[in-house]
Amino acid sequence: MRKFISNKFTLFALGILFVIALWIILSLCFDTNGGIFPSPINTFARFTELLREPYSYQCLGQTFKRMLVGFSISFAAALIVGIFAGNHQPLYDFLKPLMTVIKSIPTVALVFLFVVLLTPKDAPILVVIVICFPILYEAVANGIRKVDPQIVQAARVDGARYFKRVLVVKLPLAISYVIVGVVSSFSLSFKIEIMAEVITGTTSNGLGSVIHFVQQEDPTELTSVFAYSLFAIIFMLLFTLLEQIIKQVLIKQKD
Amino acid sequence: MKKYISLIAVALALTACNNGGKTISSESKAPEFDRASLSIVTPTGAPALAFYKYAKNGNFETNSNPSEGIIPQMVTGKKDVVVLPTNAGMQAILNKKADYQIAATITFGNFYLLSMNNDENKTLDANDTILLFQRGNVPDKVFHYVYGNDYDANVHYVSAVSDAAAAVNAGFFADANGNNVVPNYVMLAQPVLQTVLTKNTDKGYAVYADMQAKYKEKSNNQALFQASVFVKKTVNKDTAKAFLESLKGDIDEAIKTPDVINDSLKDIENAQTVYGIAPAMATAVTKNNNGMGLGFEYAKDNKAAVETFLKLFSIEGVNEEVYF
Repeated sequence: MRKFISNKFTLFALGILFVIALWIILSLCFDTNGGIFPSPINTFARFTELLREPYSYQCLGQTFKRMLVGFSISFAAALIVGIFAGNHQPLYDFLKPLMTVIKSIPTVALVFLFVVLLTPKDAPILVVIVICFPILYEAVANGIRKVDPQIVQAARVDGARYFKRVLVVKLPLAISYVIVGVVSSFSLSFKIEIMAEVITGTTSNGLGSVIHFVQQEDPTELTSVFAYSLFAIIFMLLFTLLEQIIKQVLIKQKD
Repeated sequence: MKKYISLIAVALALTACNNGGKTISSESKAPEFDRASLSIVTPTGAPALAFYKYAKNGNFETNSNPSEGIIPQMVTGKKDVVVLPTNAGMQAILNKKADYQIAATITFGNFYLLSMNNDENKTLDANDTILLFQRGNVPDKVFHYVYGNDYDANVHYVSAVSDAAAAVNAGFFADANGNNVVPNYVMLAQPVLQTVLTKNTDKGYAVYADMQAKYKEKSNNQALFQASVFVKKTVNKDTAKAFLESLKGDIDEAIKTPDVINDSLKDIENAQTVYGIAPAMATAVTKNNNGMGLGFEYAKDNKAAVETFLKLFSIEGVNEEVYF
């Protein structure tokens, strides 16, 4: 019994049941008209309807596509800058104020800035790039900085040159840090993309655009808002599951 | 030799006839305007509907947050054509030096004052609680232009028309102090009004005042020049003229036969999000006495009406150069 309860997947399933129970309680407390805080039953009923509409998948697909473009650019940039900063303490120190500034800028201010510089349709991509960059950069740079110097020294003694030491020795050892950074910023970037779509008011296909539309149509009827949000939640749950599998594969490879 | 000369003469004559025929043909019918030739951005709702024939055009874009999403595009000159509330577009030109000219107005107001069927004397007066939306913007300015400031003690605001609709549906709203207040009259805009009335058929809610008609009465028969088309100065004049004539034709057709809106948009999957209104609903509201307030008037030919509207926002002294 104890083994069953402590099993990771059992706990995960219990966690989901807890979330649904909490949702039911909140809905019973706050839902005065059947739409202000829709119950899981109403939300899932609407969600089932949306599953049958190709438009829902187009919105999810477009949001994911834009997020992926932003995230990939951010990751590539963070990898390059992070590797150099992780290997060179002066560069790391030099970039610290810049990273702090980027991390501290309110996201909404970035959205407004990029709407002016670009277009409402493209602004969310740039917001994702800027928001994710410092997180990914820190993950890469810190991962490399925390590699045991003795291992690097051994590689040097073995005749490994600079780039070989960085790419073949340091980077693989820093991978767990990088994965943590990727996972946390990936989920964040999806949420930011949706939020930026709402603020910019773009009406091109996207989860944010459609959530904004259904909210504007009737602010007291949020069943559709919850149902579209469920797309994002399920999508991120699947991603979390994928992340767990990748982690287990990596641990097995390490062993 | 004579034979050759006569042959050449016949050939030349035939060529001339052929060319002449072409000229006559092209003169009799102007080439149709290519809707994809100009980049356009418009707010969702009534102004977007005027562009019901642009749904498949990659150069056409709508935005549901005009102040955040459209004004910056106008100030930075990103689009050939921008549609905005007349006052907002003019302010961008006059205060932010946006390189555009006002060409035409395409929406003439879709505001209505809804009676909540709870006013004992059935007449709007200083004792009634009035709920408006968009403080300092068109609905607020139009209300005060029509009714003055006598009712201000009981005037409350919500930020958007959707919030005003929510208040009608709920039967109350939260005032600035967080107290729940029951309104007697609520300002709404189409098509939200239609949705609200359909949702509350048993409550006796009814339109108390057509704000466009009241505005007209007050302004010496001038229409409410609400949302206008602004054309970038660098756009070729002939192209711009062809665009405006084409748009005028589209709008006239929609007013005459509103079904054309639904026919053009019904197969577009995301039409509801892009236009901010379901095509069937847009058609129904337009059929109901042009409830969306669609129309087309050149700004230059209606300077007095444009300027009357701008005066509501204290915009005065607009010079000739601003007009297309």
